Amino acid sequence: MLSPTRLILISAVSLYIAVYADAQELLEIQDLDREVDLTSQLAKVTHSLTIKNVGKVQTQQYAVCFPADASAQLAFLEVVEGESDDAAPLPASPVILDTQPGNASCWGVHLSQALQPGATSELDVYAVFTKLQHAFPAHIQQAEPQRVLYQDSAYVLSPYSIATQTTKFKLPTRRLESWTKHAPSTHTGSLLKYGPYKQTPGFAATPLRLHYENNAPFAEVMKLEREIEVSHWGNVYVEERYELKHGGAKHQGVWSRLEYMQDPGRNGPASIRELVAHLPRSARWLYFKDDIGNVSTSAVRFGFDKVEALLHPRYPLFGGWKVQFTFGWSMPLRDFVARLSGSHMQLSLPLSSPLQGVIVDDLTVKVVLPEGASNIRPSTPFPMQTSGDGRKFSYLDTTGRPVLTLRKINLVPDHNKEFSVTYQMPLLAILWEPIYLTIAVMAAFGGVMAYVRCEFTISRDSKWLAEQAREKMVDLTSRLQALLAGRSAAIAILDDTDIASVDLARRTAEAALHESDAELKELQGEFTRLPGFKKGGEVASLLEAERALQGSALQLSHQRVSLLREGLSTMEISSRLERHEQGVAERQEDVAGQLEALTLIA
Amino acid sequence: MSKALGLQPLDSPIAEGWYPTLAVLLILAGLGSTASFFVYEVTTTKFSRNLRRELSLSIVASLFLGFGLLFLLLWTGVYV
Repeated sequence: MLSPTRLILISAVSLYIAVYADAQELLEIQDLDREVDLTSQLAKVTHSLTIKNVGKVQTQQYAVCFPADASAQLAFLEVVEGESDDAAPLPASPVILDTQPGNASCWGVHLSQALQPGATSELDVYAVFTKLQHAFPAHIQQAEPQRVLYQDSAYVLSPYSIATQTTKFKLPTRRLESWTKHAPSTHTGSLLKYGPYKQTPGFAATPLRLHYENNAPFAEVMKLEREIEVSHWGNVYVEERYELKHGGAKHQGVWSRLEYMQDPGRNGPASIRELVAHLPRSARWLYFKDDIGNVSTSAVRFGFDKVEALLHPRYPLFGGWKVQFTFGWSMPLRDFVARLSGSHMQLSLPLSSPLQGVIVDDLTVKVVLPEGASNIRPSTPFPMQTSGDGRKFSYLDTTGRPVLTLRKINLVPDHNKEFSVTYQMPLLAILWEPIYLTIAVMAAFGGVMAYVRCEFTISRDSKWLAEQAREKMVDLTSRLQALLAGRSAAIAILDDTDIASVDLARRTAEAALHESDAELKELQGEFTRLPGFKKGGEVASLLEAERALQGSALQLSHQRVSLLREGLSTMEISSRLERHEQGVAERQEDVAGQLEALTLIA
Repeated sequence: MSKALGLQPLDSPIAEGWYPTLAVLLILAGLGSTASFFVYEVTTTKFSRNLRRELSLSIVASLFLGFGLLFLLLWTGVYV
């Protein structure tokens, strides 16, 4: 049984076949310039062509084909219509043409507008292939240059007939060991030119082999894991874990660092001496480490438009050698995260490795957003495998930070475009982190509060009991002191109150005294209940003296008021009340003395 | 990048230049209130201790210390 999706796929493919079968009859390539840039480890192929509709009906389809074995290594394909450089690339998807031979793989391109009969259009096809330049010999010694073999066809593989075509191969050096001639073909310096060839039919091919020197370092990242962690407190961390190897001709025999350093130009010309990383201008706090620790042999240059880091691994990489390291840095939040509206944020930054000239076999990008982020949507410049159900526990997390994982295989520098992730995050959610810290500190205080309430005495002996009684005594005495001070203050207010409101003030003071009487009585009771307390008499006499003091103080204030009402002068009042005042002062001294005596006992 | 697109960049709630100052001031205030908490704990007996006063002292101290520690972490480059 076929699943519905497979049925749809099959019908879509058969529809394509029908459409392209027509298109092949309709189109003709008038003029095609192919340029193959072999100066790095990549093969960058550019077709600049003019197509013409030679049929009777309009068409909107164009097919671009490459040899099947090369297609497996196709990393990047972009078809642009017209002459302008900033035109949007046209969508391309794999198709199977009915005329296509077994050694070809084709991609269908949907033109932006239908091509009328007789009309022409200009197209630019840009394709990047990895690992098409094979080391030959496959093993070299330290001082040998690296030579590679590249196989292609002198004719451009195309389903359409081509009126005129030329191909230029740009080689890294002028040292060309051998090449297949196919007249007219010329070799000048580091340039190989084939063509022009006239009137080649569809899918015409004539194989050619180029054998030349290519000392470009074949830096190949077998596995790259990038982790981008966003903190709304103002930072974006990027950490990259690399598994890198030299994918060129394998090193054989001994290796001598002395010779390597004495003659850097000729000794180990294809080795990887350093890796250059271009980071955004505001990158800071870079680090470069491996399993052993920090790798100190690196340099950083802070430029106007970028930060350039020169990373020297612990040893140079020869063919087949591998190295693992971690490279990381930080960037300010405001340069990479924008607020779209309310709680909607957008993170945008470059997708792939900042290392220059490397190919990445397997890229994983993990975007770690702050705890509480939701509604996470990535937007990538090309399709990527996406999963968004990861969690990461980092600083001060409870439920974990949401992790969005993006994955793609076979990347070249052209893939290093910007991608973005939109998400929703309440602005106040970042306050959870200080609240967690506060709760942790509070827990420590709670521990102290619990500890002081614990009793660790093993035996409750007489000494312990005496200590308890003393503590209780201290407590009671200080409470008594506070209570008595309050009572004195309540009375003292009367002296400063003016005549008009003095009656009300006195009533209030009396009520306060009356109220605290009960408390005093209760305190006295507690004193007498203290185990082994023998100073009950002292407490009673203190309270008695205090009560007498308050009584006479109240009376004094009463007399002063009535004398004032009689209209006597202040001088006269004070002379009349002098004895009474003295009496109050004596009582006050008496109370203070008794209280002090009691405190000393405690 | 976001600026080039005319979007409003997202800033930290408090300017990053303030982190060191805030860390020092808040931690000092936190240590001071921690000291007053411990002074209270050791100068009172289990009969005279007042839970409400203990709680208020410790909550003030932990708020100061909690936020102070946060800014200390941020100052040292640990962006939580």
